[in-house]
Amino acid sequence: MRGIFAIPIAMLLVASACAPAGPSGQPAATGEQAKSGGTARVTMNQEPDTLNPLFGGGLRVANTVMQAVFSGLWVNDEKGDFQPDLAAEVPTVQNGSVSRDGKTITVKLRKDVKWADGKPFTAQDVKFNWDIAKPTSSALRNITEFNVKDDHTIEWKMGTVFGAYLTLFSYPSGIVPKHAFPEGATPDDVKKHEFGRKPFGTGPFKVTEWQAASHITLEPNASYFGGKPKLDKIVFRITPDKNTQLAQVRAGETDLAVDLIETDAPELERLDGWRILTVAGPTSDRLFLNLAKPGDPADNTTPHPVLGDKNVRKALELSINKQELVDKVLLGKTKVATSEYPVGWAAPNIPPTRYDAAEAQRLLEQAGWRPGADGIREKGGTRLKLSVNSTTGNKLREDVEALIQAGWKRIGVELEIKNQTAAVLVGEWSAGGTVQKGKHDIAFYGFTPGIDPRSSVSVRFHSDQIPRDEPGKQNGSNNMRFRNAEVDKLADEADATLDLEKRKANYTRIMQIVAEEVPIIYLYNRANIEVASQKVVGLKSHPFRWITWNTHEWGLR
Amino acid sequence: MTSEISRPVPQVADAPGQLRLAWERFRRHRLALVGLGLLTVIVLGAAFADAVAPYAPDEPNVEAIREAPGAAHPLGTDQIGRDQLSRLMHGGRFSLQVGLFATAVSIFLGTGIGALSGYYGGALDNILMRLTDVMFTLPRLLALLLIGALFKLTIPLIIVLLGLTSWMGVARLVRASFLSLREKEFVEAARAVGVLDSRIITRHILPNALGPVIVAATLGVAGAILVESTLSYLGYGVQPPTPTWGNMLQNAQSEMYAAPWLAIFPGLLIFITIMSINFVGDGLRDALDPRSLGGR
Amino acid sequence: MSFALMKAAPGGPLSIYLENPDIRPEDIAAIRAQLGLDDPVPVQYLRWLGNLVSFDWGYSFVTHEPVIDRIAQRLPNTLVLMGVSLVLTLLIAIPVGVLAAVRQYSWFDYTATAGAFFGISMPVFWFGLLLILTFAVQLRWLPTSGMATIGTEFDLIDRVRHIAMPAGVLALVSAAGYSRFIRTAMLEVIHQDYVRTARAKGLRERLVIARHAAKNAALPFVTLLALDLPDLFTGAVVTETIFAWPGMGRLYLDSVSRLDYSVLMAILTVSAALLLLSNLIADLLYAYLDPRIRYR
Repeated sequence: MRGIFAIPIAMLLVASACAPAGPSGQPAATGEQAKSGGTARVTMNQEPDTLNPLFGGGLRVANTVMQAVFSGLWVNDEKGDFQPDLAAEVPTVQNGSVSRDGKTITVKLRKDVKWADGKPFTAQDVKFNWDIAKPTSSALRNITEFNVKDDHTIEWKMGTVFGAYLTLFSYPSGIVPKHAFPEGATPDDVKKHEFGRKPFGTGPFKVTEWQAASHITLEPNASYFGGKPKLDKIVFRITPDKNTQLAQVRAGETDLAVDLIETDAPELERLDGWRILTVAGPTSDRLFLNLAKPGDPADNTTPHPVLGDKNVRKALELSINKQELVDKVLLGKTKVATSEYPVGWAAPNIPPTRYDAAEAQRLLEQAGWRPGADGIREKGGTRLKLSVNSTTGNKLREDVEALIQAGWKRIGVELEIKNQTAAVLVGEWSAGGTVQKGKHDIAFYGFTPGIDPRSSVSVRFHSDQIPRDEPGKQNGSNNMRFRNAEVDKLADEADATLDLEKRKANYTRIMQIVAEEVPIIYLYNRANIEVASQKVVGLKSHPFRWITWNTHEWGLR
Repeated sequence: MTSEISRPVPQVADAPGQLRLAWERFRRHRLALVGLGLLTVIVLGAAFADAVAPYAPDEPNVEAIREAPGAAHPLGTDQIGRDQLSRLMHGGRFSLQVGLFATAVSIFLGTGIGALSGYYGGALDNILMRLTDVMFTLPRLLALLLIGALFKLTIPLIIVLLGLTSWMGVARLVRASFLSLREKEFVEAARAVGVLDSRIITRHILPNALGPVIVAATLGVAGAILVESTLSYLGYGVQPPTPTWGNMLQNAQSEMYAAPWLAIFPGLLIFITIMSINFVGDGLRDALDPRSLGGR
Repeated sequence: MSFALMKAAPGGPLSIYLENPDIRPEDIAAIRAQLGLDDPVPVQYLRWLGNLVSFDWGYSFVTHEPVIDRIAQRLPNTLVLMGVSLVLTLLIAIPVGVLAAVRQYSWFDYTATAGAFFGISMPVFWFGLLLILTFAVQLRWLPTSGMATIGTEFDLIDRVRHIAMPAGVLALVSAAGYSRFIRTAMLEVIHQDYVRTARAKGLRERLVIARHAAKNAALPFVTLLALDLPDLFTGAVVTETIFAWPGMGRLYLDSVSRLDYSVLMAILTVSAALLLLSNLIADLLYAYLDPRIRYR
């Protein structure tokens, strides 16, 4: 018995000690010559919910697959600027496609685009997408009139001026073909249609097979307008256990592992024949501080006994060594976060806060918090004790919490870690969600801003968005209960103009006020991390899109 | 395991002489002694973790991330520099607590239900045994996973849930003992002189039915630890920062090559603990049940 | 009961939308209304109950497919895995258990016992991991996971290579328990009078074991097997997860993690039905195998 047991352990120790026997490690990059054909094998550790872009829940893995299948009217380039995709040009006031009052948008579509089944792509398809998606999208319902001028021209009118109009019909809301569904299909019909399992679009690939919990096979779209894809097939294999997924890499059963996290990197860094693809994306993990008195629901008119004081919030931020988190926990794969939207045309230039525990101590002293017998500070009989809620099952955030806890303990702040399932933490008001109701001191999770700051800044910091028990106001995003008259005014102005410079100036000012008032402590941006075999060429990380953004250029060496 | 269910019932086990005899028999079971030795070390390590552990279990150290086992950290450190030996000792405390207290709950319930069922028989017996049958076939892991996803499992909650779903074997054992014991002369005698039912059950019959219960309890501890670690591995058990062996293993996902010691030691410890408990259980069976035919 | 549990739980299937910047609060209200989540709970319950009996199990909240399709996709895979592992289990457990009983206290008995302790004590998630690292990564004899090499035609050898580890792990663990059970059952039978009589009559030892002993020892074992029937439906959550086997266990776990109520309800309801069925089968088998029970 002892013998049987000893073998795997010995193997395990050997495995870690000696260099793994991967495919021969040729030098990368130089003269990447891809031959035509072949299958790229991709592994991912979740299964997409649906591949119908109109009804997905926003899962990364689903977007990763859908991006190879669908196109939007326009997409972001690596700088965050919009470039035409299915549209012939990006509509702006300058080129006359946006009316003076900002309410009418005219879009000319490319005429050479065909769906993967060979049928032509027309303006009717775009209108169909609007018809189907508007019941669940207030932004699309703001469009009061949607006209098909001719086969390749559309025009829409909006009820109120919407500065972020380019986020409509952009990726990831890829355009689906009207003719894939029966005439007169309702949104519910479209949602339940088998299209979601075997979709095709105007992208470089189409889904030819989806075996539940096993794999999804993509084959080229012969009529793709961006050029013929080089690969014959891309197979996405679904492997729920992370260890098993990484074992597939080690065993050479896959060519690309997608949607990894920063902490997976040390496992893969020294692997012969493989390379890590990484780029810092717009997602940032941050601490949402509840400025109101916690409760069920929170008392929005009474400040939080601890976090209501700006100096305490500042002290908390100063005593987090963000650079150390980036270097040691995220292995230097990304950078310190400073604002809501770190990249893109409107990115504000906010410097990172420094780490200064001494200054933090001084601020706490000044605020009247004095060390008690056990080193934890007190004021008027109240202990300086806070709790943090993050989502369970997120290893990276659990590690960060432990480090923040240790750092705060050094300045006399006790932090209790009380993680919850995502459904509870960010659940709706009616379901008693922790942040919506304001039961928390500090909530810790990530957020991926849309490319236009409106969706992240105005919605996040406007006092009208403070969740409260009024119709339509329960699920607002200002769960910090942050209230600032200047911010409200700046946001209202910015949202109602099409002047990009004015909008950028206003949003930047809001972020400066936020940096000063600290309702949110931004920690670090998340990196997109993938590991690929040297056999695959043409792969490139993209800060705003998923690794599959250029699948038509992928090839095998 | 299920084998103890069909086991014959020991007659008398309360006299001091019997106890010594049992210990004599236990001592001859070499594997049981080995198991007892290992268990003692593990339990002591967990119980005195505060005093014995070289570091605080939740103290990160960014200067010592993923250090291989060595002089400073005998079992290495994790991805934020916490000492693994210390974490295993503290984690063992939670894992063992879950095992022990969950079993205590299940023994309490099982003994109670089994005693009532066996002593009174009739309709009550029928109802209770149907309930036992149903609970027996409840897919326990599935139910716990669902509850773990809907509500956050704390240690007390997991103890109660495990206890509530594992009393059935004990109930059947105790019922069987009571069925045969209630007809015995000493019970008849007690009843004849007007001793209360409750007193007959607790003072006269129960002590004589305890042997197999102790064996079942031992194995129950192993089962509870295994279920807790499985839940934690799948991410629905006790949540960090509270370390348990199961969630430490879960945490070691994707550290297999960068820091293999993080996956090896918690797994090994779960395995050794459960094996030791099973050895001890087997030894106890031989010791408390002289008619037992099962060797080691 | 499970319906009540899910309604009582905090959070909901829509909470994934809250982290999605493109979806506004008022949109969530619209989605809720679409799903019928705003109706009073009793209305929702009655609707669900009505649909259940008419085999309209509704649509998954997550994938928007008919629930019955989702189950139909997975069930065959689980049946294959559980079937193969059951056959393996029996092939290991029965000979080992019988032989260990017949040759009590031989080296074979000791080895079998040691093996059984190993199997009972091994945490499946850890064992599976070690196997993958050993046989798939280091030796490269077997594929890490999945049911077949993707993109190839049906090939029996390929299928066997894929099922070897998951079925092997499941079989080893359950064979460990069953072999002990069979051994105990056999030992009890062997020492019964009628077996001794058969032996005394001069019947050959092998015949005695096969005809008399094994048949009677099979009785409790077959019953036990029947009670394990619901596992065939729900599969093995841990094994299916580790080896990426696209079966029911994973469907359950996926649905738990995404709170896909309609799928969860269907799985729980079907397994409850199977549970009752397996109890019935166990009773019938018992009656069939044991003539004494018929007069009841």
